[in-house]
Amino acid sequence: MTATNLFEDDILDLIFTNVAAPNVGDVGGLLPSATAGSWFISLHTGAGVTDTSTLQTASEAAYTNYARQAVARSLAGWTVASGVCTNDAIIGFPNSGSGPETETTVGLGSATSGAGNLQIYSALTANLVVNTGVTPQFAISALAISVD
Amino acid sequence: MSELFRQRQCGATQRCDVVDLKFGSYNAVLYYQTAFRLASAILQAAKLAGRHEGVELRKWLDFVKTEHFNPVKPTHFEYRRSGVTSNVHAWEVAWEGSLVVIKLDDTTIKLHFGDAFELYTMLRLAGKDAKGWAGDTSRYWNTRATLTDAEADDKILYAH
Repeated sequence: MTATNLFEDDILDLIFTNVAAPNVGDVGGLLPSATAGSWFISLHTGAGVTDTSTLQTASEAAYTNYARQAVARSLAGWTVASGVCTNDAIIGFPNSGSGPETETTVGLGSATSGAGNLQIYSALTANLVVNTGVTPQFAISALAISVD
Repeated sequence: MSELFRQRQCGATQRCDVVDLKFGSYNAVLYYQTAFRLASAILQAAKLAGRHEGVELRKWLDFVKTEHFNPVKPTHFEYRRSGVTSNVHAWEVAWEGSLVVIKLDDTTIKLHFGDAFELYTMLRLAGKDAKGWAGDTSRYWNTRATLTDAEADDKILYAH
């Protein structure tokens, strides 16, 4: 048993754009959240985030001025097509006032700050060393989540 | 070897549980897991390269929208392996202006971003067929997260 391309997109749409995944149970399908909310994007250091991690504070970046960035669960925030979801706008973190700190991992969770819930994470394509004056960012489409 | 290829000279096809990726006379054999990751990297690079020609973010959907009309082959009922091994040990995908640069071991291929979108679709569909041949019913969640320094990224954008 495997999922079709269409259903993969439906699931990604539900997760990232809060659009219902139709035709599951009934025509309405899996319904969107009453409040769409946002994904809160975090940066992490070292190898402290694993499948067993539950808190978004796990090895989280701590450079001066760092803060998680919110991306709305909406069609304006994410584009889903062909099994891939990508960010529609630059996800920019604050300019660093300290360093060096090596960012290794990106996390997606539910809270703007504090422990929250870490729900998705991934190693960065390449580590980024953050020194004073560096402004980390994910360019448009630089954060891509796919299901195959 | 470093050459600029046109789309008609490249392609990705399924062979048992591997994917053959052809660029002219060069033939790379990829495990389907690698094919998915490579496809994801190509798509990201193509979208970034597209920005240099002013292609709107959602325009890339036009290049890949046919995918839903190409159904993959049915999944085999049990797990199997062909024994064919990959001949690619390391790969990397980047972008230069409006070109997508794919490095497979010592071979470098450069594609226009429009061709890269097509290659992405072919590679992903071939990967799905290979995964189905192998009887693999699991789901692969792949993430490409490219974190950059905003100032350095701006310099790249203005340089082209």
